[in-house]
Amino acid sequence: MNELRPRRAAADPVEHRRVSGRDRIRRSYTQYLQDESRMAAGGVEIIHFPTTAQEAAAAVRHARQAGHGLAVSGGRTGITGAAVPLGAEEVLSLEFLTYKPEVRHRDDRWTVRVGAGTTLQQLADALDHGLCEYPGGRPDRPLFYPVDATEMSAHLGGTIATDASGARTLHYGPTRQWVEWLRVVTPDGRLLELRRGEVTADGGAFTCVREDGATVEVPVADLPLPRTKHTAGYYLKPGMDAVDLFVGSEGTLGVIVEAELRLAEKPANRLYLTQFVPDAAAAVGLTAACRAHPALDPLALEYIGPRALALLRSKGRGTPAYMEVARLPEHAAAAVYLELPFTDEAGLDELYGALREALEATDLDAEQNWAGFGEKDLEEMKRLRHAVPEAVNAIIGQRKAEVPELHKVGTDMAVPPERLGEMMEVYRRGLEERGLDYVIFGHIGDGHLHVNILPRTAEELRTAEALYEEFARAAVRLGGSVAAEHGIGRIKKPFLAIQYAPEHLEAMRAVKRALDPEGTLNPGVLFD
Amino acid sequence: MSYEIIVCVKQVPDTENLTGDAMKEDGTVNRSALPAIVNPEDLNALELAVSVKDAHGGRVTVISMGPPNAAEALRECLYRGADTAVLLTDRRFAASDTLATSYVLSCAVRALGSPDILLCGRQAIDGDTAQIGPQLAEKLGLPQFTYVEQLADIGDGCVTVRRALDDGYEVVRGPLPALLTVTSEANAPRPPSAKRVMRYKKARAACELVNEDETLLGELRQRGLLIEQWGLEEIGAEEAACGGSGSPTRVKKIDSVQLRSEEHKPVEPTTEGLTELVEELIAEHILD
Repeated sequence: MNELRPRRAAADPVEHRRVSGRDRIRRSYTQYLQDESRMAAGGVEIIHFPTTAQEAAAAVRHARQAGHGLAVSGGRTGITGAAVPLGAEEVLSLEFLTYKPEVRHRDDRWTVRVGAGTTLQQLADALDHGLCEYPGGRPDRPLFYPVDATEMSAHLGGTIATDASGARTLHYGPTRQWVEWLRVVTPDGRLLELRRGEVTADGGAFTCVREDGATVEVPVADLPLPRTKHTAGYYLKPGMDAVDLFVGSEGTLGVIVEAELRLAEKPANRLYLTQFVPDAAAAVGLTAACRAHPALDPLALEYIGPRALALLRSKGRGTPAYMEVARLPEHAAAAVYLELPFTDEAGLDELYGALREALEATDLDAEQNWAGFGEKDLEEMKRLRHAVPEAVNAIIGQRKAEVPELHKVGTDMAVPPERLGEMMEVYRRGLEERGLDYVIFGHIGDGHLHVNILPRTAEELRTAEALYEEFARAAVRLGGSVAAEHGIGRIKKPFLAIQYAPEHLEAMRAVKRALDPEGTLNPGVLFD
Repeated sequence: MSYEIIVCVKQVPDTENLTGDAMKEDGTVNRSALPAIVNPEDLNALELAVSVKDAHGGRVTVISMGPPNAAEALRECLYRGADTAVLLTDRRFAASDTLATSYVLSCAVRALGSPDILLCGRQAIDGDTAQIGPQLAEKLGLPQFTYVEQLADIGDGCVTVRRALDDGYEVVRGPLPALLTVTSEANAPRPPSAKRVMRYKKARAACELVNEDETLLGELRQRGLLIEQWGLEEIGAEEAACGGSGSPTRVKKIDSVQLRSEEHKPVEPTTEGLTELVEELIAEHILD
């Protein structure tokens, strides 16, 4: 079946909580006008705070009838400006769409049903402490939601709308793979429920039933999707599942108000390892050796490059990871972080044997690392990795005092793992030739490294931005993605045209036109 | 030259990560509810020892007096760079105060043969007495450097350290052998490496084996995985000076101090309300 059949929501007209008035909103609700990008909107006329899916539907209906653009607002942890209401007159904040997560067992799978406004942290806590509803009984083993996007204050609705990922995406895949069911407010203010496997784009299209009973065809093209993590534009594939149309659509096709997510069994034990390596090439080598080894299945494989480690070392006392940095061995030039699951004592011996083989294959020393098995070890190693972007932001903050227009230029490209060495060479050459200040770190196991360029002058900023485009073209040439996890939002729109040919962009626009002909939802996101 | 180094460590309840069941109703510490860790400043002492060994060569031995499960703390030290470990465990050591404990440790150090450097953490997080190091130096007739926050130099039979003082520091030079007590400022203890964890996770003390089979003990010793276990006789201690009988300290009373709020005051969520609160906290010297 390929039919999308939204239903009229019960609550209508608008009776939910909302604030209105541009001045008042500009004065007291500024947080809804910005997110973690550097963008900010001047103001909007209304902010809606629905507490139910029906109220959210009424809000969308309200905006549409007024001919207003409506920006969807979650935890606003995104860095591409997707939640900034530029070009929108109304904001729909989903923060009160929360209720106790509901854990169920269905078709041999454990799932959890959540409201869009529940945060990753709240869900993790509820699962860890058994604070969910368990209508069919409690699970007999510890479960968790494996998507570990860095910002734990991100709303689950937002993580689905952006197909968020994190360090453990290497093993568990991005959000998309964990979404079983969605409740979506359509751009005409109705409610659509979708269970994975029930509605697919048979014959290269979905059919959407409009409110007046007429049908509209939603054409599904065959996009050349890269084989990497990828969050640039719509996911379009013949025969695709309708759930996947909304996952990663950045709130432009519908507002996700409720979802059912699959849960994974917690690994019994984990070895957390930070291996020190002499240079970037050794890190690429170790990554390849780990990926190739049949007995190694890392949950995460992360990288801190030589310049990133040097930057951390240059920071003094009082910085968040000071202790971790202070204990870095003198010879440590760069680091690879691995998270490796094992079952029991015998499993650990086997795992270590495999790890030693991977280390030996890349001429690395099994003594030059930090190893741990507890939450505290995990936290310490995480602190070291997360200190890199924090240190970058601190330096940019200082430089901004001199040149206010400066900002960091942070890339988000992924390439297939076997092309990573080539991509790193492109990075190195481009950055060194231009004499830019930069660091490299990130998800090396997924072929997805973040280059953070730290311009010192306005001219360097322009050079860095031009170089970013060059890098994006190189990533696409190598079969990669221009936006592996941060999405496109409002800031990265030019990169969509690097990723896709004009006809592919037109295919995406055709989907938007079919589902949201008035352009009510998130105007200015993905497309101009 | 290379150095023979002995580090005294203590297994303590992790008082920095308290949970609700941390205290019993009578006000004593509920040890079973708290994870046991190596006393943090003892890890600084160990790190100092291992870095001296790394730079000059030598051997690091860790010793700990405690119940059989203190072997876990010694394993942790082996993970972090110690070469050998000795567990001092004997029922007759139980209930020792600092005087008796330093006596037992001094006997063990003598039994190990005189080290060049003897190290202790400044103090343990459970008792906070900071007495063991000084008492141990006294009993062994060693010069002592307390509150060491930096090892400035070592060589020619001398050591130069920077000692923390209330209002600054002083640099002191003296002859080896000597005892040093080390503060958390001295270094950042390195985490274990995978190689050492995998090697030493099989290290055991005799009391941890189901049956003390001589062949098994021999095998462990041969592979460098035996945590030596010594009691009263092995260290040649006098029973009267150990445990409760050797401890003049008497605990008269334990008070469980619980802070209770007696009044509360609502604060308006406005700039004025918060300013008023902050001003009040400054006036009360709660905030600087």
